[in-house]
Amino acid sequence: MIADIRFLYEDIAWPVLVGSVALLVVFIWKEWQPNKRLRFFIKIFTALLLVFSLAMLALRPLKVMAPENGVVALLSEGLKSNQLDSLQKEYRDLSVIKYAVNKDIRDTLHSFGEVIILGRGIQPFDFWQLEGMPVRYLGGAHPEGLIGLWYTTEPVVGEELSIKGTFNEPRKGDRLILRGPGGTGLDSISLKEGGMQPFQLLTTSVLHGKFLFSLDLMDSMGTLKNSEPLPVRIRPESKLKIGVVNDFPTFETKYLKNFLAERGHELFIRSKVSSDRYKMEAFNTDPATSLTISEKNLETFDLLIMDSETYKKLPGTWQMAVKNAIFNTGLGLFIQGDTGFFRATGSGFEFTNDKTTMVQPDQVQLKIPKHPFHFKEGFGLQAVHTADGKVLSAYIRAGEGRIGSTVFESTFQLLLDGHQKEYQRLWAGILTGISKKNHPVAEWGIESRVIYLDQPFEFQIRTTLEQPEVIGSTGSRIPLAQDVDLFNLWQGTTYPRRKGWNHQVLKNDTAARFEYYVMDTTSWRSLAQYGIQEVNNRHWDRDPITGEGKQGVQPIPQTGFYIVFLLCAGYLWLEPRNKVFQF
Amino acid sequence: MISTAKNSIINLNRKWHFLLWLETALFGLGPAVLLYLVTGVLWWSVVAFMAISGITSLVLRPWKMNLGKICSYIDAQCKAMEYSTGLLLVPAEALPDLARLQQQKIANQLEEVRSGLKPLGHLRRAILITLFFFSCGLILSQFGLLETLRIPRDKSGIKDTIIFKSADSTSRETVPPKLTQQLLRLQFPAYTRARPVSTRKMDVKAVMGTNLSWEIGFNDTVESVAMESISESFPMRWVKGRYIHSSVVEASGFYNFRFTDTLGGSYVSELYTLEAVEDQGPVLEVRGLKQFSSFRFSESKDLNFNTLVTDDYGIAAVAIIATVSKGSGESVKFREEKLPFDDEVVAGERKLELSKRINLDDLAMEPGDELYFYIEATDTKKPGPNTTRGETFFAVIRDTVSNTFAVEGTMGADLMPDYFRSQRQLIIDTEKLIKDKPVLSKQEFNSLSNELGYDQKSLRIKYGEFMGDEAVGEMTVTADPEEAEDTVNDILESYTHDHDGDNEHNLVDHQEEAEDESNSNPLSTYVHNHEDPEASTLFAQSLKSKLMQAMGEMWDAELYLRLYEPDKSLPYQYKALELLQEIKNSARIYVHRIGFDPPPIKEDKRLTGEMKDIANFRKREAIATPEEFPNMRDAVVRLEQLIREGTKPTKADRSIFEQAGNELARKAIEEPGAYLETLQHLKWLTEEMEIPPGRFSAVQRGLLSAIPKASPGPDRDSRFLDTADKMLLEELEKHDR
Repeated sequence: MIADIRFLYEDIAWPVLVGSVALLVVFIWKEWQPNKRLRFFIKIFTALLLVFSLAMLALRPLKVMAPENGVVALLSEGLKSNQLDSLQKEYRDLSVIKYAVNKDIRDTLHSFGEVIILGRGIQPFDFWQLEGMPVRYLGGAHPEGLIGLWYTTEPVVGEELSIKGTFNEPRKGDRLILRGPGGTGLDSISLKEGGMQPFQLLTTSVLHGKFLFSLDLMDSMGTLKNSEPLPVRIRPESKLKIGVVNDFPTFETKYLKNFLAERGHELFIRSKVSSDRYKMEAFNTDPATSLTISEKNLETFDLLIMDSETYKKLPGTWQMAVKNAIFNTGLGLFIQGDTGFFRATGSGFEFTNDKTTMVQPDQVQLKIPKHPFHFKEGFGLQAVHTADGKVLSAYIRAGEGRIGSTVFESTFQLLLDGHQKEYQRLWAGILTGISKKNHPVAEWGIESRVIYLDQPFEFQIRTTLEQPEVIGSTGSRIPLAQDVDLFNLWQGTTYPRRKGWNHQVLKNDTAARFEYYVMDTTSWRSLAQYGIQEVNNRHWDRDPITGEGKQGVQPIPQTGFYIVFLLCAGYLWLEPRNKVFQF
Repeated sequence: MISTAKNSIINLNRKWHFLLWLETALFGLGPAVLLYLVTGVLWWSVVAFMAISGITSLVLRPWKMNLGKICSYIDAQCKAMEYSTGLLLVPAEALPDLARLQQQKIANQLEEVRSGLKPLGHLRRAILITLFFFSCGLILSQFGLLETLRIPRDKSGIKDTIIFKSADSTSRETVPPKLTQQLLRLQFPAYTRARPVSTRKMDVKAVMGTNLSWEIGFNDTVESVAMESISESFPMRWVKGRYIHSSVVEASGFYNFRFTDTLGGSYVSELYTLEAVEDQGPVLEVRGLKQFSSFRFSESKDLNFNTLVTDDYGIAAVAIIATVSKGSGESVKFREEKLPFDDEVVAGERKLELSKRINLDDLAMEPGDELYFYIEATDTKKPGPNTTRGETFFAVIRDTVSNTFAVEGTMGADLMPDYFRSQRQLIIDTEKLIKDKPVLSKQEFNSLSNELGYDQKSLRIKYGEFMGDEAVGEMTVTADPEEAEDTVNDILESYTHDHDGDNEHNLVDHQEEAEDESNSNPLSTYVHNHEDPEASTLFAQSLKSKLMQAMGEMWDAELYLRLYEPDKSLPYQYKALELLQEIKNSARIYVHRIGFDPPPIKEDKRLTGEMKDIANFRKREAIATPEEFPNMRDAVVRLEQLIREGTKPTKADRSIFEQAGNELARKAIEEPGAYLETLQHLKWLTEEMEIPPGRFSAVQRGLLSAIPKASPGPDRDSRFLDTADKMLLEELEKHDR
């Protein structure tokens, strides 16, 4: 029985005990009489009661409840009604509790032997309430609507913005429309009736800034059924510093030069026109800089374009300088190959002769001329363009930098044929992949794209800083926890209080800024529900905790102790003054 | 018989009924049409029609007409009916025998008088009254009389009213002055012969040169009124209680009005388009004629065709410009003629259908002659009429006699130099001289022979030019000092027979500037270097030797001519001609050189590998294309912020919107329909006024549609480089080696 009693303030049990004993000792010492009469014993007993009740008032005793063997069904959203019916058939005394976000139901739940979660499950931040309980998660129906979403949240201007997703159980005639800022329709797709359907919507980002796109669901009558916000932060194109070294002037270089220079990239071109005579052109550059091949000078370059002949003939020191710049500073090197290059070995790339000179790369609608070779796949080869599994453009990593090449030939023909966009996309893909990367101080990572108001927003930050400090939108510091294994990885949780665009920065380096969009819980409901279902599935997918449930405790009412204390104190006070109390 | 008679009465009744109702309607119709033509309001005229017709029907009471009345009328009209017409309406069975007999009799009588029975009425009077009202209405509406009574025909009239909105939210408590009058007068250029137009509609589309004058009036005093264009403001003058401003349409654009009331409150109107339409040139359509017609000499050589000429404002003149080419080779002659159409060209007409018959015989054409002609139309535009030239048509009379070998057939242009043609002329002249020898004095003969010798020399020297002879250049030898003085301007003038210039009087005067031919060498475009015979690019080696040979013959011919022995000279001349013919017939000399012209090669430096004077080529340029519409882009981004944050635009924002508006206006002039609304909304945003919900989104949408699509380009992306990643890479490299 005594084992069933616990105290709320167990931590002060010792001081209270010592105090009580001391009080009692003082009392006995004060009342001590040589010839002990009954009155003495009564008073001592009363004092004992008084001290006890006082101690109880301080310690707040709790009664440990024996665990019930009953089963409780926790009903969450997405409940299948037949599940509950069958459960009720099985367990006659099944108790039912409705789950509500953030409501404390821990004590109630703990008085049961087992919890069965029906529906899609509970919010991950409420898992703690079920800690230690045997839980069975039966799962619910998948939510109707958008249940999957993947898109580039930070595309660069001109980049194709692709929104991929999965739609569950569309109705007949449902259409998904991608709308840009101001509600401009950008792309749409008609959904077939029923089932789980993947979809993809495409658009091109027009100008940089923070924008709210939206994904609208229309029915067959053209009525708007639902509109989900799609926050996108479009980055401006950063300007590259590019060096081009050619053994002789080519049309390919000429057109590539025009394309790059017109976009505002800094460009240095050195084409050999005769032995020891060069044509040197510089576009959009600072007059002070030039293209000399030394490690120090190459440090400032992002990309070096060279034909294979030049690369082969580079003097030893220069070759070393280029190599060092690639390995140490992350310079990108693009080699314009010729037949000799494709046949030779030792360049880092290996090629296979395939005798085809025209190819339609994947995701390109046109046939493009190429050398009759393709890349031989090998370790570390990163493909940029492929066609039917054959690699057409690729790069390999070399230290911090990258070396790339392509088998495409005379791509300027695309421009002459009027396919400007295809030409631009082709070269944008190759050169972006190879060129030097920015290495930010910190990289932010988030679990979910959908961030809700007043709900925990967990983020990760990878940084080389030793003591990073994150400041939120409100200007307050967000505490971070360092990962046990990876000392560069930190985690934090914040509760956004403002709808719309929020941000957080690293106090140590304000350039490391992270912007995110906070929505209310009415947005992306189906996606959030699907996420909950997945998390619950994973979380409860383990051996159920068998045996008894965790014991519950119930506070013993304090009133009794008060009354006893008052009566005892009253008796002890009145007894010396009134004969009635004197025995 | 009785039933027939009864039917006649019923028919008469029916007809009468109809005529009465028609009369009623006609009485109402006339005034209703008049009212519509004057006021332009349909429902007013409908009400008038119903009211007048109703009153007339109450007077005429068509419904009161019945068979009984018809019978009474018949009885009154025909005594023969013996007042018994009513009997015909009663069934025979219900009548006594006597009455039946009378019925029979009356039925017969009625058949006889039936044709004379006509319903009484005033239909003619009703028609006359209706026509009177009609014509009144037409006259009033046609001549714009009672214009003040005219009420806008439809809602668009109300829509056209200029609506002023307060440009600042502070002066809202006072009652703003109201617009009482708005008028835009368009005075089209005189040549369009269009009548001036007055309209309340402020969006203008007018031909360039139209004079526009705006008049607006207010019920209260206002401080100032101005008309604002995209970046300019023109104050309007106060004349007789109205504010007026005039301008001439020169280019498309936008404008709005702004007025300031006496309390300093500013009000702006919506934005209106001003579309300048260019006067189009006449359009020609030739029907019934093939591009190329060829006739045999024996058949009738007529060309018949029709031409449809249309113009937007009026055609001033249409003519056929015909060129007849006669002969070929050196004797080709051109004659240009301006032929009128068979139909008269009425100046100022917008559409003309003209026909023409050209008879080639009338043009004195012979076999082998060719006719080229085109039609030229001019419109009435002033200043500087538009001229349209139609396509050229050809007609030829086939020459079946000659069949010459023609090298020209394979080439786009006849590159034959004129110099090749003159040897034959020299021969002819020499033969003539020999023939005329008996009649000429010795001195004359010698002089002519010498002249011919001089011609022969000039011809030889010109061939020398082709060969790149050193002896090229000015004529250094003069025949006679006296003659030399005369030949300062053209040294050859008095010696040569100008075959090319004698046709000039036959040509229609062209406006094009005549090319300065004094310096032009016809081969200069094809030949590059005559200094060095090696570098002469025109002739192949065998041709060169042939030409040298010919020149040798010419030397000899000249020699004998100078010795006054033209008969000895002739064989050489024939030889030279023969050689020239051979050269002429060799197609190789006409190979048309195009493409890359290499610079002259300096032989002393050739293949020496000497590079000391060759420097590296350096070029520095900034060719980055600046971003288009930067303010429009800023405005889109700022609008997004305003939408998300739900705040009002600040002064700085308004300035961005204004600049964005200026940028959009430039684009909108090209496509006014597409961006006018956005431009209008942007204009409102630049003023301090209440912004209705959704306005920001609408403007943002409009601006985004005007910003050109971005294209993909290379970018430097960001990638966090972790220590762990670095270590991994290093490890990989180690194992890679």
